Amino acid sequence: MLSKLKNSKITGTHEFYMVIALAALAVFFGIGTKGLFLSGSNLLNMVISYSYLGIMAMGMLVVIISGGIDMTIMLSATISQYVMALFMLNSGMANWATAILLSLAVGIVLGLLNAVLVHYLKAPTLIITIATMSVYFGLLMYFTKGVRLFSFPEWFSGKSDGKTFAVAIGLLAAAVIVTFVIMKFTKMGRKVYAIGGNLEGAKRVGINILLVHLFVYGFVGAMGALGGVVHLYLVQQAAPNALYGGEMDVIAMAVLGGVNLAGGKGTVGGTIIGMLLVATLSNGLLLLGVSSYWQDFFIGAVILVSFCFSGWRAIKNREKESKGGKLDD
Amino acid sequence: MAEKFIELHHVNKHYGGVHALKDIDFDLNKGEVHCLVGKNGCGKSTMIKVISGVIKPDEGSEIVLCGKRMKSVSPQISMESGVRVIYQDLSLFPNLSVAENIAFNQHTDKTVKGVNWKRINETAKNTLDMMHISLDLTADVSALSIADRQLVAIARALATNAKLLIMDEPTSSLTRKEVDVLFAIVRKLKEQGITVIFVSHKTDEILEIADRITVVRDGVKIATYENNAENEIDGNKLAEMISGHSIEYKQDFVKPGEETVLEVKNLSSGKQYKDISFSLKKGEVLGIIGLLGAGRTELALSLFGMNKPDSGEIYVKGEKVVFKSNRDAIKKHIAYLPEDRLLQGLVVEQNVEDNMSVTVLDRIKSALGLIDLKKRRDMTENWIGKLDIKSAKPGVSASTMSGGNQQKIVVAKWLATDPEILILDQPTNGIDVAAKDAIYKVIRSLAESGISVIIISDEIPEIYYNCPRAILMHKGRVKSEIDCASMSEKEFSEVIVNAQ
Repeated sequence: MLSKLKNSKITGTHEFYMVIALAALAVFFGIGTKGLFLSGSNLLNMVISYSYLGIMAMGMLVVIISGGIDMTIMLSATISQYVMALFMLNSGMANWATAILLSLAVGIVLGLLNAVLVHYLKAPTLIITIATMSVYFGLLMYFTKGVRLFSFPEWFSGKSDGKTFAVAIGLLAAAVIVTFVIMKFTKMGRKVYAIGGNLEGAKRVGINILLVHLFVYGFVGAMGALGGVVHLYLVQQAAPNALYGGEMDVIAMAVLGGVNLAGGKGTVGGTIIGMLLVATLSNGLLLLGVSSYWQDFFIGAVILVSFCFSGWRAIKNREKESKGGKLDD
Repeated sequence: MAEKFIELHHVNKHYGGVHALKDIDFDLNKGEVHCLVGKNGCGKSTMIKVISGVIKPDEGSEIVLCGKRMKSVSPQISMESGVRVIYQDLSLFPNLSVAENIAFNQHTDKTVKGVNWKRINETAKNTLDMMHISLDLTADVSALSIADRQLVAIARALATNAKLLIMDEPTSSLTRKEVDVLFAIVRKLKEQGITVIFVSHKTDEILEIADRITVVRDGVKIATYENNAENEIDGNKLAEMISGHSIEYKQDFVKPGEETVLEVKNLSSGKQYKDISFSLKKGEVLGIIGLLGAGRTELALSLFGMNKPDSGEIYVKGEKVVFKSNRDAIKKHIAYLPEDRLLQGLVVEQNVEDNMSVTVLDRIKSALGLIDLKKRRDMTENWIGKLDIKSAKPGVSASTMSGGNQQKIVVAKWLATDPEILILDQPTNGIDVAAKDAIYKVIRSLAESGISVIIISDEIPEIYYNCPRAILMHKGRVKSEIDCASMSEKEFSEVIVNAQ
């Protein structure tokens, strides 16, 4: 059985090792907190409070597969939060459906702007989206003057366990399923993989690169906005800098899930594991009473270890391939 | 008269002031293998681009494609007529599976709805069956050998109903065995009525596979030859036609000195090579001949400190050395010119000067420890002159230069380190006969100046005419040591072929 496992395809994957790391961390925190970490209510709360980052990680996954990155994701989320909050506070037409749709629309528009810049400027997407991030943040601060919005209507602010579960886990599940289906079963999804793997080759087979860019950045904008909806529901106030800086957690989730930052590689399943890893680390350390400053340290350390480990495995594999065994006599 | 797939009549093409194609008349018979040969930059690629519709020829050109007369081919008409170009870089998606790469057209074809993995696998399997080969359909293309990737690229073309396959230097990084597989497939495609244009620099392969051969030089079609039993054309004549002047190789060796500069004793490394022993004299040109995969590159990398051997000893000028990295080897005045000049030897985006000086930045420092630009310019111009690198100016980007000149820049880069032992791995791979000849002259003058050279190659004439002594490697071992001067080229060739 064990040898069978050894030869199977699953055991060699990055995801497999990440699941092992996740299980080890869970056991460690379980023992460290005398079982508190592993209690059902803690695990549920943990997943709920990280659900919005998980939704955003789905968008980040897609943009990284395409060979880019989106640093504006938290600004897409915050700006759509404000638009949605103003809509809820001022319009009689506001309900779950219209609020989410409006929020998505704002996120998509902001994403499309990035897409156009990425496509025509041909500069590294990291630089372009850091620039737009700054521009959006400046505009956001100017227009909101830093004012927070709260006291939303009852349909949005009234909380129950069931409703919280439905909003956080329900929308996360929706984001996961939609991303999975798009990336695996639509032509657009496969074209995203194609441009991430070989952009020049993608042009040669006649893929309209602009359309793919519009889709990718529109999608990450939408996922940012959807994450923003969940976050707004969880904290019940829109603040200009509440999410600022969180893009690093989102990127960490995708990267720990085995996404290749050079593009072309990455799975929805891996990103979910990445999300659980980040959530487990933060939540576990919190329960252990470790200062929140150390959380960033540990997440960074885990990313470094994960990179060292995959690098080491790649070197070993190469050596085995080129040198392993003996020459026949 | 054979049925024609395409005919070009009086095709001209100007790029700015350059007359790239001069009144070309060319035709392709349906179902033939037609080799297109010529120096780098002779106009072959432009011809291919005219046929595939990437560029429009000048006014007055006429093209007959599948019986239809037109002024130029549009990319769409070329696509619909089944013209498929397999570029040298293959343009595959390394991150996607073999099956998806082969059937990728289903993602771009508007008549196909959605992604149907079952159909993708079926298409891929059927196409590979048609080629009588099997590959793991689920493997990522990045995990395949270059040869297998080539097969995937061919399969992708066939999956979209190819009628004319244009292959641009498909054999430059294949082993002989892989070339045999490729040729077997090309012959099968021919039987199925598919026309093939084959671009290559290797005359022996051209003579093996071609039905007809067209030589292009300086934008002019020199001639089209039938390659049949009557031997209208042979290797020497072909080389002469390509270069425009007769290239006659003769053995004219530089006499090596007495001092032994390098000695290798019982060197072994895993399954790469085993029990290698040889020595090298000052000013000697030593050949290491063997097929790709014989362990020769791995051996060369060990001599250059980049592949640690498991056992055995290396002596440089009588002193035992253990190289921890190539920095140690460079200190001992060993230089290595890699096989793939573009990947490993040259920063193509940078200019000639940057490329040549990168190995000697320490030596061109000014008193302040900064790079002395004057020294650097003098050094660069010195090497441009010495190696006769035409059209090279220190500030010109290396990417704009021809293959032969790029190779010379890489040579210059390593000569600047003042090497005593220079290892050249496939120094003329992918460059045309005229540039080859220039490289050989450089090697000879290096030997005259006392530099010992090791040439690694699988091309028989390259070793025979440049190396007084050669080591034959086979499956990681030294099979024999050959005194090239004592036999004819034919005898030498027989020794090599029989050993394999």
